[in-house]
Amino acid sequence: MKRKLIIPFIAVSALVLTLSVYFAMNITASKKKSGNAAIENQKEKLCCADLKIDHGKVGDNSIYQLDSKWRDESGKTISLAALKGKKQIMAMIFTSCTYACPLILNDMKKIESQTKSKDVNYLLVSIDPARDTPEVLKSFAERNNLDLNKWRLITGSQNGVSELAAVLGFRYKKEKDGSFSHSNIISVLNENGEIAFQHFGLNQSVQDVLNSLK
Amino acid sequence: MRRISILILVVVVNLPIIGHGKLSDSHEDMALIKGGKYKPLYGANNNSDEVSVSPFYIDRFPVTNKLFLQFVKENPNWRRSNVKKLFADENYLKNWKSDLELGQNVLPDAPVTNVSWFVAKAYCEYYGKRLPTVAEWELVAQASAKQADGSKDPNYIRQILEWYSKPTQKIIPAVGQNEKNIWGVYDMHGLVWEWTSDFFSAMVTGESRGDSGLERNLFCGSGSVGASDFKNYPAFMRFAFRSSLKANYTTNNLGFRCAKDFYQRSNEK
Repeated sequence: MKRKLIIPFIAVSALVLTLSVYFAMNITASKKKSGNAAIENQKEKLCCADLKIDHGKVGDNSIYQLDSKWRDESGKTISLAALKGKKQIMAMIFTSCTYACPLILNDMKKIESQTKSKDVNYLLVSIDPARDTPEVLKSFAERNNLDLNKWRLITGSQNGVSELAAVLGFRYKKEKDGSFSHSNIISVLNENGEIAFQHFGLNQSVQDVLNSLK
Repeated sequence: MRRISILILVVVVNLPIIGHGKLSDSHEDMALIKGGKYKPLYGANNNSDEVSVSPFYIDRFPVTNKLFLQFVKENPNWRRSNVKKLFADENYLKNWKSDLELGQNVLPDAPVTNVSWFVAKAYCEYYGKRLPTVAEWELVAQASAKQADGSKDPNYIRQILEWYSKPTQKIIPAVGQNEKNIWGVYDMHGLVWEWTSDFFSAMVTGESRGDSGLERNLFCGSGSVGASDFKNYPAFMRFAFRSSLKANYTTNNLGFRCAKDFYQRSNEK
């Protein structure tokens, strides 16, 4: 009785095995197809995003060639190229920073108070997009009495932050406690978004920045 | 009873196939790294300084000239004559004969070098991948042929140091000629240096800033000082090398390979 059973048993399981291999291969193939489709999509996205940037209008060294999207303190979506036309005094910060960023902000305000030109704007870029929402940036601006006619605070994506940091030579690293180690740089961008001057470090005279604006 | 036993058999026979079906994405050219703990050289707080690395895929080989040529064929923006200074300096693909020709001294199967961080990043993204992080790269790099963590093995460290002390060869050899590590990954050491996505997290500054040391006023945060492993000399050298890099910088011994998340994540961009 038992022996009789074995043959159909093997036959059935062999059939099932064949079928399931076939089935599994189909799944794999369709997965590959959808994977390729995703890559195709990505290619399209990359190609066309690239095309959209009008490289002709800004110089070879302009940071406005970066096509990342940001939101300002009012929640409006902007690209960096939207800052074109005025000089920008800018720094990368995070609003919950307790030591260096208040000092950088202080230096920038010092520069503001000694600059009469109306063609200079001030830009703070958050390196902490997860916590620095437009609302947080807005209340940070209010707390620090920033004149939003001249100041702009923006927050974006990790990717956008890393690209901007990369072109500015700004180094940063997230620590386990959620704070960041980072370099302290105030950059001066000219009207076309090229780096005209960079001021490194804290608690130094800002005269060099003021000179660079002349 | 018979039916039940057949049913059980069917399920059991199918288990590996079902499992295989789920995992068999097209990653033949990538190795799956289980993840683990990586102890950074600098910058973490006290003893709790290990970084957990989630499972990920990494290319088995550095990206070769042949593959990179295909990329620039499909992406005219990244050809040598079209690239913008912001994204790659004047030495970009300098050793190639022209925009779309490698020339005699460049092996198709050698790692592509003279590439910037921006173009390495764009390459990986074009193929649905990304650059590995420092932690991921170091985790793979610390694996010897026999151990996942060879960083305590003096022989392994010596082997790496021997390579570091050799000058770069004029014609860079093809990939995959050295022994693979325990993950099946080739050439983490011995051919070229490689870009990482967050190279800018290395905090020692370059001499261009006039501050080769670590200065409180240049860096915020508690993490900048205090190395964790003084014996791992190669790790110091990589750290110093990364800290000297700029994103548009290209040189003849710096290439890259790509990585990919194991777990699908929502796109941050």
